[in-house]
Amino acid sequence: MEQIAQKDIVISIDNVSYDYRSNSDEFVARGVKGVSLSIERGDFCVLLGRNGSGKSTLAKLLNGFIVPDSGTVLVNGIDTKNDDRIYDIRSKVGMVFQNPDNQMVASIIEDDLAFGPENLGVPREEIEERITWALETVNMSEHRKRSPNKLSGGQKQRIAIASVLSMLPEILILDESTAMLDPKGRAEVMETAMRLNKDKGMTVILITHYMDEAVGADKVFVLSEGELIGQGTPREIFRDRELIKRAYLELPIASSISLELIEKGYDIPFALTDEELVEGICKLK
Amino acid sequence: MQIKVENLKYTYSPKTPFEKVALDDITFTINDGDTIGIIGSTGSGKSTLCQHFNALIRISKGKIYVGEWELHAKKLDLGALRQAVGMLFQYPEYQLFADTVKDDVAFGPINFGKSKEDADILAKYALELVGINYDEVAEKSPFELSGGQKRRVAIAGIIASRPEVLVLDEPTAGLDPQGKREILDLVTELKKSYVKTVIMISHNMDEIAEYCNRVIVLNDSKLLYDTTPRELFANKELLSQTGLQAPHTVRVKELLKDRGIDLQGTPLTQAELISLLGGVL
Amino acid sequence: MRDVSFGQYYPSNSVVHRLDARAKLLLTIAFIVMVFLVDNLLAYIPVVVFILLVTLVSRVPVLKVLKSIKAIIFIVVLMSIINLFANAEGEVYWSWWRLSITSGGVLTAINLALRLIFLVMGSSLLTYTTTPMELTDGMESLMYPLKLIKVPTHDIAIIMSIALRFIPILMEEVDKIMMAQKARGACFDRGGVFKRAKALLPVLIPLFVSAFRRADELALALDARCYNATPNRTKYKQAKLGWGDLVATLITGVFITLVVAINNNFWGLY
Repeated sequence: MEQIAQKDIVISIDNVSYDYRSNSDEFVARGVKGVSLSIERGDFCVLLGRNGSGKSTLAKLLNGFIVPDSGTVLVNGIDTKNDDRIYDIRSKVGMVFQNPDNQMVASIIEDDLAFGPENLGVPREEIEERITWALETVNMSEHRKRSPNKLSGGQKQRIAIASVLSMLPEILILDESTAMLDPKGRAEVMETAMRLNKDKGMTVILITHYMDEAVGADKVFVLSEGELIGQGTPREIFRDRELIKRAYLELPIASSISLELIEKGYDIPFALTDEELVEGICKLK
Repeated sequence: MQIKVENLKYTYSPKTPFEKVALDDITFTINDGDTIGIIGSTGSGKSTLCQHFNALIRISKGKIYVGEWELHAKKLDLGALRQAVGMLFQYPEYQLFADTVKDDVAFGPINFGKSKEDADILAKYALELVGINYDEVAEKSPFELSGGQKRRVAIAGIIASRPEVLVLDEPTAGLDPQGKREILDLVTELKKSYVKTVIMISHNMDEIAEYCNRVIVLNDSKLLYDTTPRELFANKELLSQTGLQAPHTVRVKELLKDRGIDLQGTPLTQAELISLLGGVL
Repeated sequence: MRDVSFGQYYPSNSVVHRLDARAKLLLTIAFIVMVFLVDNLLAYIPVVVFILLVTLVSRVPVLKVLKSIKAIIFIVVLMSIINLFANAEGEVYWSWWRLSITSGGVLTAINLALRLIFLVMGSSLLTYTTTPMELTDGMESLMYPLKLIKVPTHDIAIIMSIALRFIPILMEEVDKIMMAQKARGACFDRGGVFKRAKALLPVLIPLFVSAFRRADELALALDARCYNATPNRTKYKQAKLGWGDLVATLITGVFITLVVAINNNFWGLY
């Protein structure tokens, strides 16, 4: 019945507000307020905001863990308020969390990957194929029969991604999935997410407060105190020093330096990456 | 208080099939007043090394002198040592336990033999030092606070015992940019108080470059370099052996060099890089 | 790091590993019942031989199986000592006040010690050769009759699986928190029982807080992966009884018969 409203929009959020309330319905904390945004299929989106800015609340709204107090969230055209379709949404919106240890249910990696498809009633033979495919996709095939306990943080998080991939989602949400990792682990997870986006056309929503992870995104959304205060390409977002300041964030170092040089009167273009900055400086010489 | 490490060796699960050398023949000295960064990839032995400094791990081979203490001696006054060498673990907010913030911070001083009254005074002082509004927060449960506040309270819980040496294991892990900045500025502030020496484990090279005067690089349980950040980051070869990434400012310098623009010097902060660029533009 | 090897899966592709978990569970139970019925020392010889054979076939290092005893050695010694004095039958070897050691006591003590040791060796062989998932699936399958009276057997199986997965993680966490509190001057090995118990509070409270936090996140992760989406859940690892299970059952059956026969002096060996 539900037709996807517009051909390319996979997620549309319309004027959504959500407050955290206690059991006795008392206001505890604000989640998000009046947020409207839409995400196009195949985009790599980054949700930026400091701790407590409402980014994780937004992620939970996308998966129907919580439903808005007002406004609507549509995933593939399905309203998350529609209880009958909730598993259609969750199987299409794969979600990876912050702490890799707290999202694995099994002590053997392939069993963990099987958990999602088992819950969805996928036939055995197909589960087998999906596990093989998902492990190959995250480059962890050789660990199939092992325990996740001895893996590095980055490897564990790749397994967590594979465990979600085995449900064949269309959208992958990484909810601060890089926050607890060392630089190597972060790079591994970012590489995996980028590759899924580029090669498999997966829509990726990355929630983070690492600025350099936002630099390569198609679109960046900036949240502050529960409100969406900016959206655009990384170039548009990081050019706006005031916006970043209002969100209590910091610019990527290359952007910060290029802006400072521009302010000093040098005629160089705004830079997102170290490479762009160097390019700009060389042109000036 | 000087810390001298001599030929330290440590093996996990010795004489079993799971035997693993964690530290191999480590020798170096930390001087009074140092802010020393301990860097290296995960599993290189950084935490194991640091847990020796307050005898959480007892020495199996080698020697460590911390001021007057000989940590390799059989008899050791652990209380006095641990009071002098404070240690902040990763995600320290997960160790809060008491009913009130004030009691949690006073836990250390009381363990180290202070009276309840003295401990409360120390706790108050420490909380103010880390920028917590004492009157507002002291009686609250530590579990009610925000993430950044919890971490401050945890730091207060360490420095309330007035350590001379402060060991920080990834103090900024998991914090957002502003939270990171605040904690690092706090460390700088602390060094103006009774904390004389700071030992900091970090994966963030930008932080190390900006805040440390010395670095120890561990690689595969061995000490690879004992040098200054400027020297370490000036030398591309040194760095590439460790698998660590240079800070952004140094990367920009290297990239410019490849394009024929040689900045004289190794910029460790943004301001330094901009002033060097001013020289060539 | 503490030794948490007891009860942990030892990966290999041996015949024993490939047996059906349900078969292994039932055979282990049969083995344990048998061990508790045996009271003749001579009958323990085939038991030892059997354990050794199964260990060899399973390719689990013998040392690992022996190590599993270490965890219960205290209980074994304690129980043996109690039993040593509890039984006052037979020839008196030594006596003082109201305590005496008799031939009956010695025999009971040895019997009990051996039973406990065999019990742990048998069950750790089961956990070494069977993944927690197989084990919990096997239990779920064996609990099938309970499902008919509306016991949520599948939920029980998931709970067991998660418990097994989180034990090593929480053990590590205890270590970490203890270290952190020691760094703040806490002392866990001084004073009487009451004082020690109180000293553990700064460890237990953060541990519980952390466990609740983990549980919160885990619940989200279960939901995110569509737990309870359909009553027609499928199983990736469909356990099927095979020839191997039949052979294993027969071999174990023969062995149990042998032990019982020796125990009851069927052949008049002694």
